[in-house]
Amino acid sequence: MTFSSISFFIFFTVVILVMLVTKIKIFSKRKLRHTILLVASYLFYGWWNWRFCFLMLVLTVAAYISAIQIDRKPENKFYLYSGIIIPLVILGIFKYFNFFVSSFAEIFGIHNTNSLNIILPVGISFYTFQSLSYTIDVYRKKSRVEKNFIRLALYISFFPQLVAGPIVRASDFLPQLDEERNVNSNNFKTGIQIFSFGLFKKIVVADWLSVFVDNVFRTPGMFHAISLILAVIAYSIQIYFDFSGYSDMAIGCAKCLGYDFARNFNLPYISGNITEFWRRWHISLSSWLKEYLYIPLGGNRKGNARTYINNMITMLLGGLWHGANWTFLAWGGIHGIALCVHKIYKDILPPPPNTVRHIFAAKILNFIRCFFAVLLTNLFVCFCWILFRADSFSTAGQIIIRIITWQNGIIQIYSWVVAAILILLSATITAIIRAYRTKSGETNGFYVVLDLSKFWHLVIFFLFIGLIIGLAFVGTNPFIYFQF
Amino acid sequence: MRQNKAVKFILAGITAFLFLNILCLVYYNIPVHITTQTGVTDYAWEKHAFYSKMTEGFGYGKMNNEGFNNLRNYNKQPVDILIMGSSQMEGTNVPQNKTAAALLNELFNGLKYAYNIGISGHDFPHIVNNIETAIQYYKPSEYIVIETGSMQFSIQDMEESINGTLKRIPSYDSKIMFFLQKIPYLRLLYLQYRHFTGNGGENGPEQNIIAFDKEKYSTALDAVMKRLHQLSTEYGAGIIIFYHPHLVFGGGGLISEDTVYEYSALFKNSCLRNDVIFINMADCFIEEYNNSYILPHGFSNTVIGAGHLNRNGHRLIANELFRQINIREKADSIQ
Repeated sequence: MTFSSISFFIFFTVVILVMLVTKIKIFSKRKLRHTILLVASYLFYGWWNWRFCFLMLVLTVAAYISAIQIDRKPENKFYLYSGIIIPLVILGIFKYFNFFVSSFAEIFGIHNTNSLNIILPVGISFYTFQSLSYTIDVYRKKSRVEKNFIRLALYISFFPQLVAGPIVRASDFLPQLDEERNVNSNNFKTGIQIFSFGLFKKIVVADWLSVFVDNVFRTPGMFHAISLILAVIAYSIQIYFDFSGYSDMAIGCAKCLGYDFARNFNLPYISGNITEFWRRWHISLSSWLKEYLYIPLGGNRKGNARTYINNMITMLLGGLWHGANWTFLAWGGIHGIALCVHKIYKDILPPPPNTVRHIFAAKILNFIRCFFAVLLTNLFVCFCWILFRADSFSTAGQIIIRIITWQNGIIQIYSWVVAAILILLSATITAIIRAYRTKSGETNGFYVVLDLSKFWHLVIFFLFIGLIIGLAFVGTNPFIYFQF
Repeated sequence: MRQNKAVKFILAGITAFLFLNILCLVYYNIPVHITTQTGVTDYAWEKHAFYSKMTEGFGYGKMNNEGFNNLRNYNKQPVDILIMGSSQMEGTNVPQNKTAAALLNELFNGLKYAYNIGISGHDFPHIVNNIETAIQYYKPSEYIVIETGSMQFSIQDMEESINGTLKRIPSYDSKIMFFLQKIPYLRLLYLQYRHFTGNGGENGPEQNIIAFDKEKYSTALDAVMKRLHQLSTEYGAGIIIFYHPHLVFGGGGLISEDTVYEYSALFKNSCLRNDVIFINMADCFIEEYNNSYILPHGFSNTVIGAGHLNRNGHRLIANELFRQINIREKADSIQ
């Protein structure tokens, strides 16, 4: 049951209706609402495979017991370690066991290795990380211990963010459960618009781009360098629209139910350097890795060499988090190197003083500098996406070599790529203009949230919904980040 | 207050729906198909209807006075070449002046006139089912060209097509259904629904084939070809069948035709045995790909190399038909 499926629309409508019933006075109990949402979340997850629910339950029980024991006896580290190790072992078995066994066997030339006949539970990486962060936060006293099992279980399994994030912190979500939150008209109007925005990104833009990207990455040897470049650009837009679209849908769903999630993307493709890119891309994962991996490793507090090593470890594991494949590891590694290089560059070359006196000239120079910085960053990011998308190093190598040597082949100027670039550009420019109007001048993405009580706003909203239905790619195309 | 809200809600919905229909006039505006009285095909589009299609390729044009995709109206003028086929030959995915029929007329430069009655859903058995009526109606003086994108048909369909008893494709052209089909956005929604249920593409006749019984199949196919030959002799017009397979990508930049050899061999031999001219476009397509990496099927907004014939496909077919007809004319004049 994906957010873009009909079954989800039926499911969500039922959930909303049931939540509306809890607004009636005799049913109006917070505990009942939480229980309904918990049951709905387990139903949502069990839709894929009911056995997965037990896995999530085990993780929840482990986190629940560990956190309570940590709160009782903070000096006893046993429960902290068990609260960390149990989720990691589960993740390791389900996601990485076969990968490590096969890689080990390949390196040492061992044949007849046994692999586990298991399927990867959807979204396991997301809820494992949520459970981990809860246990650690309780230990660090950043989050209060949750003694109500239902509320903790709801935090880990809350269906809008369950299978593809954003990775929500307990300190952000649990306090919301203390408040009187439920479906209401204003939240619903905002939530449904954010959801539609995400739906458009996913089923109109990302899914149509996937048609071209899949074609080219399946048989790159058939295509001209121009088509390959376009496919790489298409993939960089596809993965952004796919994942940020899902995040928007998750944020929109939660909003409809009365809960707030923070943004997960902030216009990553306007980044002027790779460090900035990671502050804008998959924000919930980047900040998770920083807080629970990079900083505990020592962060930048133990000298330059350790900073670079910590950076590399974080990014390599971040790469591996995306999937059990060497290409993901390489993707993380290259990003790690780039982050180190950028840090060295910043240390060696501090920003040049502004010697240009004329304000207009200075602005122009700054614009040119920014433009090239964004261009270079995007070139690098796109290059890395080749590794991320290709199913093997040989495919990635073939694509890179064919582009560099400007090989001949089929030229396909896919019209959805052109449309996607225009959509991305116009949305980005709008966001930048809006940012300039704010006091801070910081971009923070934006959602087109209309006032649906106004006639023409309502017309635009209906028109948008009509376009989504009419232009949607209706083949089956799962969310890219589900596999993680 | 609540009533006002409901009225506003409904009015906004209606306004948005109107705007969506205006957009669809350009994006996806397909005429209604109507049962033909003549029986030359199972149905034709509305007469003189404008169409535009941006869901697969970028096609636009105006149907002629018979509801077929031709640049010229049919006013009982002599037809030299009658072209029959499916949506591939109809060519609504490309501009009207770029269809194979239009290009063929351009190549003949007025010396011969080719009239296209290719229309969606009409696979080979449906064409055979209607061919005699079409010949009698248009009286083509030189050739009847039949397009097919497949060589796999159900035996039952073939047998019924010889007798003219194959079930005709229904048209929903009466009253409410007609008016509903006149609303472009609803047509688009219906298309989306068909894609969603897996019926959006071309319905290959091979879907009806359960098992391949070579002997029975060969007998049924021979009977069809014999019938075509008989009609050719009776009405004095040669029959040309041209087959245009999709190309499939292999490893290392190689390309091949997407054809099941057993079927293609049977089809080709059956044509030869019965004096039906058979043109397999595969070699022509592969040569074009090897020379200039151009594919005959697929568009800039669809899966590469899949779906309907694109401009290049139509151009290659027109050139090949022109070449084959000229070769035969020269051979005839020598004799």
